[in-house]
Amino acid sequence: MYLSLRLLAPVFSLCTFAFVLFGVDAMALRGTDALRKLSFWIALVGVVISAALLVFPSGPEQGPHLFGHQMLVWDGLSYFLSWIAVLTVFFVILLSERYREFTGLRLSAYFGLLLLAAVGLILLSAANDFLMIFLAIELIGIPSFILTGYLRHKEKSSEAAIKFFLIGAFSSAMLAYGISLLYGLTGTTSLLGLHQALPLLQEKAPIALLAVFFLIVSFGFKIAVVPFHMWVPDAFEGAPIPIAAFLSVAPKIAGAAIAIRVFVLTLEPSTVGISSALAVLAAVTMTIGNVIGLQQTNVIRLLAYSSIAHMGYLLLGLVAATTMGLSSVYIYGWVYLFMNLGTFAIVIALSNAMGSTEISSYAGLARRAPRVSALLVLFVLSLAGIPPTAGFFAKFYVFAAAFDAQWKWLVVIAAVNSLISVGYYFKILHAMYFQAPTETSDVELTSSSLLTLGATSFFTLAIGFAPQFFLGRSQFLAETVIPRSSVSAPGTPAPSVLVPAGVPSVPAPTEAASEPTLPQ
Amino acid sequence: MHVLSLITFLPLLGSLLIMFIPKEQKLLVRVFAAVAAAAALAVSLWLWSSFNGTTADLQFVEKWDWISAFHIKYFMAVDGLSLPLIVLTTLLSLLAIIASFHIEDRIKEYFFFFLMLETAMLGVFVSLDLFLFYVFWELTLVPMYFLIGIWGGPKKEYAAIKFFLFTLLGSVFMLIAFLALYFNSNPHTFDFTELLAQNGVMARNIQLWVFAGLWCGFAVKIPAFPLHTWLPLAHVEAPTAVSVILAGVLLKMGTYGLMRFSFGLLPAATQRLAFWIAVIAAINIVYGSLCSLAQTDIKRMIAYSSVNHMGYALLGMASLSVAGFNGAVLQMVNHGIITGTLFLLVGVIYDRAHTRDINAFGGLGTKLPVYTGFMTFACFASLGLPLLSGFVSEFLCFLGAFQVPAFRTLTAVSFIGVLITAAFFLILIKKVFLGPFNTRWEGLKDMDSRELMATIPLVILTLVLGIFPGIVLHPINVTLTHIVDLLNKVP
Repeated sequence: MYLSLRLLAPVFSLCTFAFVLFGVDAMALRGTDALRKLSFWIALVGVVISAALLVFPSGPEQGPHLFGHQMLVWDGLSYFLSWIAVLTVFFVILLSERYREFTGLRLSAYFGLLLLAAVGLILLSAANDFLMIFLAIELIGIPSFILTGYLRHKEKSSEAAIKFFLIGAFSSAMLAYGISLLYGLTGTTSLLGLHQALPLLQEKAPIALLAVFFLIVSFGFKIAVVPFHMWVPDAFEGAPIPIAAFLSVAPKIAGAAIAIRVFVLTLEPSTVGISSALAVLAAVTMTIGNVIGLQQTNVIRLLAYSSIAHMGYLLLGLVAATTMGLSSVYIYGWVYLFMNLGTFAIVIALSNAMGSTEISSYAGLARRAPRVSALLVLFVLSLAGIPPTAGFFAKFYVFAAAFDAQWKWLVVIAAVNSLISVGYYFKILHAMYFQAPTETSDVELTSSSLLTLGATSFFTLAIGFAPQFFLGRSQFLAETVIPRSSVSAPGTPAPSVLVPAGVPSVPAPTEAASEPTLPQ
Repeated sequence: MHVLSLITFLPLLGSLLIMFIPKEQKLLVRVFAAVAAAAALAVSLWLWSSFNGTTADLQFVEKWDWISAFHIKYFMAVDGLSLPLIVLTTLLSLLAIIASFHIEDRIKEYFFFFLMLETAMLGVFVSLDLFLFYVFWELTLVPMYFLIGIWGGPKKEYAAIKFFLFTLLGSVFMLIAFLALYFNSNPHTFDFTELLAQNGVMARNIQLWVFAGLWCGFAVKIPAFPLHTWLPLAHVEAPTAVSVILAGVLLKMGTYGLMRFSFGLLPAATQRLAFWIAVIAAINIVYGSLCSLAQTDIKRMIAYSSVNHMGYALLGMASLSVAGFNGAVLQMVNHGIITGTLFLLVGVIYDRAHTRDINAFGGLGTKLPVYTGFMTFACFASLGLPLLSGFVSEFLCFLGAFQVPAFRTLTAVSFIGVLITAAFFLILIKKVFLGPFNTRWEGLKDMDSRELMATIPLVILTLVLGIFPGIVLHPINVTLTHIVDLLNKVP
């Protein structure tokens, strides 16, 4: 009991602050500057406290745990995604401060919804049961829809929210289909139960395949793999840019994480051809994302396609499905978070200063704002995977993982893709450095965007130059996932190794683990 | 003593410090850039003088763990193969920086990128860990992209991105080849010496695949037919000093990588493919010279002559003989010096006349005696006149190639290239410097001191290396003999 409370402390703290913010929103009549400032600080303090709660008592060092009637699990994967969630929300809160389009709005509910989305992300990271996965996905989704449409007076924002909502509802329905088929086959919604029923799934291959297909479609919408990516550019363009930044990182990596949990750790990827399906999806995703990216003239839409392509690279680690693959997904997730949020931080600052996100409006920026431009060069080079930035190392790592797992054709496609991506990333550099400026005013940065830029650029360089520290950490996390074969009872730490892909695992030894868990 | 790190990062340090100089202080920026480059040159000359030429061992080794999860090391060392290229790089960088003193536009950025480029190039030649090598290799692209794209000619933006994409196309395949080397070695390593020690472990057909991947990376840089199409555009659009570096140093990265990594680590594949490399070399020689012959733009003509001259080096390498290897490395150095001079001199006339059309001039010999003297000298050096440096290296390359029975016909065909090279350089001299004086150029001034300072050291070197090629050949010979021995030991 104490353990579950301790592990859930960040969730409780985020919820508390979210409801405080909703309370403030309910009391407030008009959106004044003071109110916005107050909400901003409440949200920021809430995230920082939750981050502290995440650090102190519940690192994965004590080994993986199952808790909450086995609905939840705490292991390396949960730890990884929780941090992604908390950090993303932290940076997004910073970026929302004094965002141009927010003037005159009450932001308390906005920040509250962000915190709730973080709760959903953390619960998803820890979900060990399909019901929990469903709940968590909805808890991420609904705040995301509202946040996308938060600019009530902007038509595009509402349109984006509706599109996003319809697609989200569709994908939830797919998930429900998948879950119900699996429940029908195995009589359990627990991931552990499912893992033990693997032989049964293989026996009932056609229906199991159908179920897996539904799951892939549903998670595919979350990760936004092609052909389930259509919502991304529209949602990004319509949403307030800080929310686009949020959507480009946390929910996508969360989708990848839950795909790892279900496809790699629970179902063994080679058994029903999941790896091949994911490999094809990865190849199509990065190719389509990059090729369509070439035609974009708006930075937000460009980043939308870039984020699609990046999820394609990240899937390489998932396809590899080895410890190295998992570890490479973690590194890629971290690096992507920093470089992408760094890019968005600059795009937001420039949008605040110039009121435009067209690439053409960046003309001659290098002369107007040399420092901002230099930072953007760093982030863009990192996104394009040019050494010595972190983006290169992350790409190198997923390539190596996939290569090691004998997915050589996929590595070749990914490598050619990173070449294509240079074609559009460098449009930004081209505008900033090669074209003549139309204005001469400098771009001012707020202190919160300075903080964001400082942190993201630091990590974008640090992971590039000295990846060993981060590598060691992510390898540790990749080894500390709940191994379905040697699950420990709650509270007792267990040494753990990941089951290598393709090797049939031993059934779980403990009584508790084999018992299907149903909601009370 | 971390002398290699010192050489490599001195320019980078300079480039970072330049960012702190206020942009109004133009003279200070220029002098500071020159000082940084001169410091690197001084250290590299010290390196040359204390290099032991009687052993093929790696010298000045620096080796630390960098990313231990992948056994990636920070591993730098020199041997006879890289030593001349390091000195060539620091020398040409300094002269190119002096030659760009007249740049007024955004000079802080210019010298920042220039010195960063120098660091990246030096890093390529001293790194012996494949990962570190790749990092430096890619790092050359970014400053070059900006240097061409900001300060280049009319089509600079297209030239910059074409250069970037072409090279990146090659290097992504190179990266995959490196991954293949890593995962096929046991224990897995990116360390050049460890991979060398494991030579022969890899099956021949894996070697062939890896060779193909590496070839993509290196052939783009050399540039070997048919991957050379970026070169004329980039060379022509780049500002003078950048053309010097492009032709003088960047192309050598390709031949260096090929000799060091492809030949060194994949002996079986190399022997199998040597004939085809020689075929490509012959195409480079003949086709490059024919393209030169067809040009009316002087800079373009010299750009294509690079394709031709790198063909000689490639032919020498493909012979897998000591004479051929010596000739190839000497040719790399000579081509850097001579073509560097030629690009500097083309820049001189373009700055004044704002045209490079060969037919627009005529009779400049009477008006610009100094310039004419240097240009004629450089053209003769480039076409391989005995007593000037180009002759020695071309001769050695052909000597090496002719020793291989299978290459006889190819070598004979390649000689046609030498003839055509002489033809287009003589045509150039005739049309620009001889004949009736074109009065349109009445107001042209002869070379100023900045241009002389950049050119004279190269001209002297051309002459000295033509008479005493031993200066370069002596320290490289033992290493190259060792590489050839390793290659021929494989059954």
